[in-house]
Amino acid sequence: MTQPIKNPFPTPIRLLGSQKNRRVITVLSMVFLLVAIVLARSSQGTWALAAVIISMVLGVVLHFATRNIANAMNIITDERERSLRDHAHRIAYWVLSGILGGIFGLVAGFISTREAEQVLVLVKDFHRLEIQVLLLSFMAVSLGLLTAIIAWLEPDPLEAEETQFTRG
Amino acid sequence: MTMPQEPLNFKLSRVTPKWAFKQSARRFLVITFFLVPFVAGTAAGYINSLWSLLFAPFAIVPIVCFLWLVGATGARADSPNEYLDEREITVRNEVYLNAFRILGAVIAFGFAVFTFFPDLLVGTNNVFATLFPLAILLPTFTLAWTQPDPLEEA
Repeated sequence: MTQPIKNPFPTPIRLLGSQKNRRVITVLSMVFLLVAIVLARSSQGTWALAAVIISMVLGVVLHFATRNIANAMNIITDERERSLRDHAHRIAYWVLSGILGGIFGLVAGFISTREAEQVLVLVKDFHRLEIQVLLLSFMAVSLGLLTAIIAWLEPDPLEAEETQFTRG
Repeated sequence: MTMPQEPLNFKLSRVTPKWAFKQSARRFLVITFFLVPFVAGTAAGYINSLWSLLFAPFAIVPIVCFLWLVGATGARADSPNEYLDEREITVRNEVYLNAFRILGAVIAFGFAVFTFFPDLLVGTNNVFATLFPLAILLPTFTLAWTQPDPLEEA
């Protein structure tokens, strides 16, 4: 009679395999990002920066939880993972295009008016912590979007799959 | 029982000239899409008089190029799963992987430029207005560039 394979990884890491937990972390990460943007707009740069950093840490946790499928090369992925990765890219592409379209639309709409001067002064003032936080938030979304989508879509692992948890 | 209507972009395949289906022709169309407006716009900017209006018809060139590219790729980049077979779905999703990476590179480049040269933002509203449609067209361009020649019909 074969013995069940003992999972070599500690409980906190194993818990991330559950789809429900991954979804909770994804939502938390987005909430912290939104909080950061709201705080940055109300000139509370330090708290905003703290919120972005927490959001990014949660993003890194998701990165491990999804076994880095988002950036995995074809050679180290099976057909199912490749299909999930490409599907996530398709969703992420349109989400990112929408965000970009919003930003470009705002810039294109405002840049020739009087408000444009104010926007430009604001954008040029990179030393302000609030501006840095907003840029950091955009970067966090761009970098973490794929992983967040995969964390949301990836189903619960089968029992046997849990042993492959740290690949990637 | 009513048949589902054929999407408009699928009909483009029938009005696209046969030569445009070859990979080399598709790549030529992608390059033309970017090159012609750039050259015509730059030339019109240098002339800086009413004569520059002579370059206006060149604005049609990228539109025609794009419509032919959609037709030549069978509109697969923007088709929902219901209209594609398994292989086409795989190819389409792979195209988005490459398109996402290109888009990411463009964003990173834009950020780098505007971080070091923020003054470039002034008067670049047209550049921004051009970049947004590019995000919509990019998957079709990527598909047109990477897909091999169609097989010869027996």
